[in-house]
Amino acid sequence: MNAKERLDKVFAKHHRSRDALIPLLQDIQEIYGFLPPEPMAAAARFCRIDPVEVYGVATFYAQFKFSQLGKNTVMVCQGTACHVMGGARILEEVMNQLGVEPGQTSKDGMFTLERVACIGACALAPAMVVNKDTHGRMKAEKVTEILNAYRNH
Amino acid sequence: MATGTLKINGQEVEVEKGSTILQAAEKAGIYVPVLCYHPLLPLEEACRICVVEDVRGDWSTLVAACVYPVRNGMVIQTDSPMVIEARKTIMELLLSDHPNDCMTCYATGSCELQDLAHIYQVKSTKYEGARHKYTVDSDPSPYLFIDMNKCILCRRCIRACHEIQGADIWTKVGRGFDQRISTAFGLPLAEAGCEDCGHCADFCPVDAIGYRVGRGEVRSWQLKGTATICLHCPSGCRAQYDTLKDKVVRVVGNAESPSNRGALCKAGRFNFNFINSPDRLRTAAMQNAQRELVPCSTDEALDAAAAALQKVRDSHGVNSIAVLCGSMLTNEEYYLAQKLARCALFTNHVDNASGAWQQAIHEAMSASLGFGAMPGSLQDIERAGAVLVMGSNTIEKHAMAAIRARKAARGGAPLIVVHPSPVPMTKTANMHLAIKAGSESALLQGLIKVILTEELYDKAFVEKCTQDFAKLERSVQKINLGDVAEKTGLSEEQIRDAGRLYASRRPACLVHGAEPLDNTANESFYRNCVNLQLLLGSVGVPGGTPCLMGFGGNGQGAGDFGALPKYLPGYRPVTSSPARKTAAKVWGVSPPDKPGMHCSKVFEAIERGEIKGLYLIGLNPLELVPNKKRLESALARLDVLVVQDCLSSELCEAAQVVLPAVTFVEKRGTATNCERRIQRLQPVLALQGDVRSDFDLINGLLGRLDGELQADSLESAFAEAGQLISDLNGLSHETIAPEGVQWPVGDGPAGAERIALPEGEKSKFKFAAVK
Repeated sequence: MNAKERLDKVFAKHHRSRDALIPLLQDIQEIYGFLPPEPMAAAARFCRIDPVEVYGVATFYAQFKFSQLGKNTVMVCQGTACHVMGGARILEEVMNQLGVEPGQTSKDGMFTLERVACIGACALAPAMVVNKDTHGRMKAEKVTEILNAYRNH
Repeated sequence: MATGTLKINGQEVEVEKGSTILQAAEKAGIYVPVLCYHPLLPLEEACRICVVEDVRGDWSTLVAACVYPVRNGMVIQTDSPMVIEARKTIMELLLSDHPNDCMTCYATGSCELQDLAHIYQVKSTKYEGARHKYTVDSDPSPYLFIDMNKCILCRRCIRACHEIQGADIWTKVGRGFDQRISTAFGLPLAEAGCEDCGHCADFCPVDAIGYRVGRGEVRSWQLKGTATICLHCPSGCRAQYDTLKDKVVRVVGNAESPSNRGALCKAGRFNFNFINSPDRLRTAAMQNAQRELVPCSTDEALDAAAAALQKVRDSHGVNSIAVLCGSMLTNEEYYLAQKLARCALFTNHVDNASGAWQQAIHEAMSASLGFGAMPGSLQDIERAGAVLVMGSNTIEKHAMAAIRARKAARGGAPLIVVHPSPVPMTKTANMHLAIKAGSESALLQGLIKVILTEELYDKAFVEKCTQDFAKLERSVQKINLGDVAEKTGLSEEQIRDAGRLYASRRPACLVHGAEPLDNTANESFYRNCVNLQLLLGSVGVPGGTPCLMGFGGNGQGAGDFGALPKYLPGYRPVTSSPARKTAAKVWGVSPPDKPGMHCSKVFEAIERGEIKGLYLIGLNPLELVPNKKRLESALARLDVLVVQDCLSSELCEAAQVVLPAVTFVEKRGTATNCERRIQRLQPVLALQGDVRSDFDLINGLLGRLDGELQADSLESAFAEAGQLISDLNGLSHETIAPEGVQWPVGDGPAGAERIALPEGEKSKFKFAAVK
């Protein structure tokens, strides 16, 4: 199935109402990995909302992305426990190695970096999550090795 | 009505149930500061500057007065230490991320943030921290200057764009510190579909969205604001013109005006460069013996014009001269122009730019409804159950009708937009019928056919209020939906769907705006508009009217006051002997009995050499015809061309006499909008040079041609016209209410919002056979 067919299928699944907007946007993001403008405008027409309102709603939620993400997502926790255990040092190391700020994707398209407030793994602080794998008791020296593992995967 | 009582600062106030604390405070005359709140916009509760203390016995809490509803027995403190401290903190936080460059800011002196900082004596130095660094002047819009660093996120722009214009260009993006005001996907305004109405700038309390014009040159306290009536289109909006010396700097809508309620369109707000133009005519001119145009005094020019017109009249006969007016004159000026033509030049060749359309509207309404003008009001559109929009690109040309149609649509009314191209109105439409240009008449016939055949019409209304239904039914039998489909370029199914949709929610409003180059809007077209409305019981009821508009700013007044070739003032036919006798009693001269010609026919007559003299008053006829070259060479054949205008143009080169007039914003007098609302104009600028108002110029000519015909004053000209226009019922300049009066003038100050439903058998509305 190509993206267009998948999009049609997503629209068929939902009701044409305002309430359908967020689940609809989630499904669209599932297809593209982010929310491109054209499907968002289509969602607006579908839900009978003005495109500008859809854009306003979508940008409110951290879960929605507006550009293509990297192949892997790196989330570095900056919650209270991780902060106390040196989370900032881990984040700085990842930023240096990838050459990006939180919210950005590395030039090679391999990693998107995000800073998150708490991932609920305080016992493992400082923690970092790559895709769905949690890496606890992080040390700055371990960052290269972990990233390389995903790079070569 | 249920009421509640509360105490504000110890003062007892009784208010309606459901009132907010802010409304109660206003009623008690107690000041509560606001920023995000604006009386013309929906509530938002974004800034919290309006917090007040809600005292509940031994404890109290802060609530936002602008949204918090009044409870019976409530005790409110608006200036307690707790309140003042909270407001100061809010201000300090706002100023901590604001450029605070009041010294050079355009809004200085009219900035609401600055005013509050002054009231609460808040300085900007309390909190140091991150500040936004957005690009200054981030959008190439020719009208707006965007500097989001100044934005305080009150969201008034979003609400103004949505609520007033219905364009939905602005939104809030992101959250927390990253929240900002943006267009969809961050597109430039033009690409985002901005309609350049300027409402966002109007409502911005600071200068985040401001006007481009005057920036860096003008300070707010230098401006003098005067309100007058805009004559760009027939809506009759009251607008405040902010001027500095002899220049208009900006224009803002007047909230009290019933025609526009604070709104303005792109032309009304931004098209004022012609007033400030270096091409303004400031001195008169006339041709010398070598046929060169040389400057002269206005009195000399008037002498020359009178002599030249008189010479043509005497040597070529009475019907050899035509007087053609533009669409931005006042009622009094139209009245004098037609009096000049009829009584001094002895011709009925007098017309105005939109005369053909106004005359057709008048004749169709008279024939169908026994009432010769729009039977309802612009406000009806907002209350309509369904809206059908046809004719012009309404958002640009007839915006006050368009934004009301959008408002009805937001309230759930189906909106059908008929236009060959995807004009901005189609964005909010439930259905866009992209018909072939010029096929609107056919479409109307198709819609009538569908509504009749499928029995979707209002049988009770048809029975009770109309006659000649059988005539309509018979004529509709001949109509074939297949033919309509072919003429319009739509499918039969589309036409059926449109008919069903339009008939689905009554009452309905049909909005049609005429266009200068579209001659398909004729009497039979307008009668079909009324046919459709009568079928749906949508004439003479709140929320149901045909809203048929010409394109001339004061086209309605031009018709009412007699600047039409077939009608004397008050739509008295020139062909009727009693009508001429009545006029002769007022004027002392009997008008000619042969109907004159509309503008387009006059141009043809000039070409044929039948018209030898032409007096143009605020009209550039080259803007009215598709073939300019042809008209130019025709004009060259005239013996006498007198051009009276506020702007110099190519026409002046060909003129024997040029008379320098002024724009509508420099005039006194009255104008009448499409909903029959007569309003007074006030000059917003002083006259510069040897210029005069069109009234004084025409009156000067009248005096030179026949002293008896001259008017003593504007007021006396209006009163004199009133003797012929029975619907004015003795109205005078002094008795026109500030918000205007809708004729027919009755006992109340506001006049008639809409016509009454017929009571007797004879006065029933008439269906016409479709043609």
